[in-house]
Amino acid sequence: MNRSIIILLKEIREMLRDRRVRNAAFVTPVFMIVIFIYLFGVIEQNVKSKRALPLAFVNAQSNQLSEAIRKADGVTVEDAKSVDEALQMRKDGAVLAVVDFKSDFDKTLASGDASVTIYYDSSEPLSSIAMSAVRETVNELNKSEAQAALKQHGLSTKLLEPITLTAKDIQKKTGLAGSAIVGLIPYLIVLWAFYGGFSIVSDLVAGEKERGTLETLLVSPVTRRQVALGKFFSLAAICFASSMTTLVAVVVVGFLNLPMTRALFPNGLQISALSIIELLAILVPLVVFFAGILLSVSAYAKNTRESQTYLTLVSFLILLPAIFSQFIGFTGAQHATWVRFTPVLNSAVAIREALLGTLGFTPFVAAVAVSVVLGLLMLKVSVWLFSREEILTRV
Amino acid sequence: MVRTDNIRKSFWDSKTGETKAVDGVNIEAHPGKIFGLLGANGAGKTTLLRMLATVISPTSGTASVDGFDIVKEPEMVRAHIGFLSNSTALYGRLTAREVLEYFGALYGLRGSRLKERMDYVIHKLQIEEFVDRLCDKLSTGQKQRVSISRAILHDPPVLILDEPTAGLDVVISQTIMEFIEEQREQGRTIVFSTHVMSEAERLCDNIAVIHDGSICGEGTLEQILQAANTDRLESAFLKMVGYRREVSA
Repeated sequence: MNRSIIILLKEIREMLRDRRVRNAAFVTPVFMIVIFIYLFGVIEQNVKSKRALPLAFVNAQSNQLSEAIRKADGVTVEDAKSVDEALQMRKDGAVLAVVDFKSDFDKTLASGDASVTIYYDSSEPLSSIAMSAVRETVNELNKSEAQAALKQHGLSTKLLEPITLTAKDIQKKTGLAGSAIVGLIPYLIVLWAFYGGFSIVSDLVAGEKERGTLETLLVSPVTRRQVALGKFFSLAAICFASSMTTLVAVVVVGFLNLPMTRALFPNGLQISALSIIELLAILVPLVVFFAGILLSVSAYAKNTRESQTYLTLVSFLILLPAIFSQFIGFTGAQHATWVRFTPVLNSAVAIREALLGTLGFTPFVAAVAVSVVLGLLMLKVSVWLFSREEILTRV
Repeated sequence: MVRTDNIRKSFWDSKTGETKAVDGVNIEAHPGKIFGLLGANGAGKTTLLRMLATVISPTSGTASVDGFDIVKEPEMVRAHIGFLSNSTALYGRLTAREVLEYFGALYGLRGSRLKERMDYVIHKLQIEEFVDRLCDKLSTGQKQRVSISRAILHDPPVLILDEPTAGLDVVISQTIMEFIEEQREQGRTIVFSTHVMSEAERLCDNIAVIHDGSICGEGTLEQILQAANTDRLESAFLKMVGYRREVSA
């Protein structure tokens, strides 16, 4: 058997016996994905459910608008004597918004010149929802008043809406389309591709140097290249397995069809074989790249402490693009050329598109090619660091 | 046989500049003999032995180990040596048996040959009782016996031992010295470094006193004592390294 494979198998055996690695690389990703999915499900369910919208009315004589608002879904009303009193109620959290009808509201309504003021807090989502509910009722009432006026003058009510807008959702009902967590999954896959290896790599070289086991290995007839390759691929295997654990956890939670998670997968959990192949093709060179960075840092460091310090700094550089990938949809930059060639970010965006079933050929090739080039480069750096005497003498 | 040819090793550091760790050393160790390198901490013993084990390269000069050149044939050299020091440790999350199987595979031992050698070292070093226990759970003495088993598993003709008793108690040190004597009886070439005079006196057929990277005295114990005109190795050693007692006014 090739000596690199002997080293690889031994490293994997040792890693899997380490409780820290099992927890960090496998248990934590599953735990995190379950927690994330559950929380997203709870939030989505709450947003979609009908909720109570308590309002305070000022100067609300029994008029058409106030009656219409009182009948709106979820609205409950408390009457206040003045705007100040109503605003205090808002401040105390007793109501979400305050509607001030003005004292001459009825008179001005008849003349078509009525105005109403709503006080709400834009920093509170529920207050904004209450404001929208009131605005919707006002719009409906305006519309019906206008329709009545048109009819009275013998005119068509279509004059109110001369243009009809029809919105058609062209999103493919494939993959995880429509799922609220589709932006989160690529981030977690990339995150654990890195952190799966992060948990063990300081032990893998710098730790072995400290404990003296590296010298034991280097006085055997293996070459430095074989040692580097054995450790490199064992680390890449752990990075890959840790990352895959995230995806498997999503699939398992999705298939369980729990009440809290059902809303997250409106089209069901459909990941096609092509999506899986694309995802693996993107992920494999990415974990090779990550393994190269992690191993190089550990091989360079004097000891585990120094290794962990450097790795923490490196992790920011790696994870920033991954974090950005979650929000790239809001920037409109997801199709930009620079995104396709930015390491890590291009992979995360491509994974997202693979899960949505919309990944194009060029972005796919760009993501794979960039990771392959960087992965090979880091592999070369790792082998070079192992070939230096400092691997033993820099302590 | 181990022979060095004007071997040198310098390290460079931005703060301290160039440090000559080994400076033109010529030694010769023969089969069935123990060659002792006697020196204080920082004298260059470990650097010299690491060069012989090919984990670091000489700046100039070379050496041959069992007929293989350390610069040109480092893998062959490593295949023919057993290296043991106080810093060559074991993998804590592997059992003693797994450690032996792992190194056996790295040394190219397979099938019945591997089993035969493992049975031999397990019996020889009396590690049957704890061979299936994780190395992390072993006592210092048990670990050292497993380390020795690992070092001789592939039946190397040359043993390089860098202060193998450093930090060990008297009982474990005794076990190691007995092991070294046995290996000499089996005809292996042994290069052994120490700063413990009694160990050198007991074990070494030839002694080289190393100081500041250079050999400052070499010969049998008797020749060393005679050259220094003393009957104690410690006195001879101190004389050779130029030690002067500081006298306070």
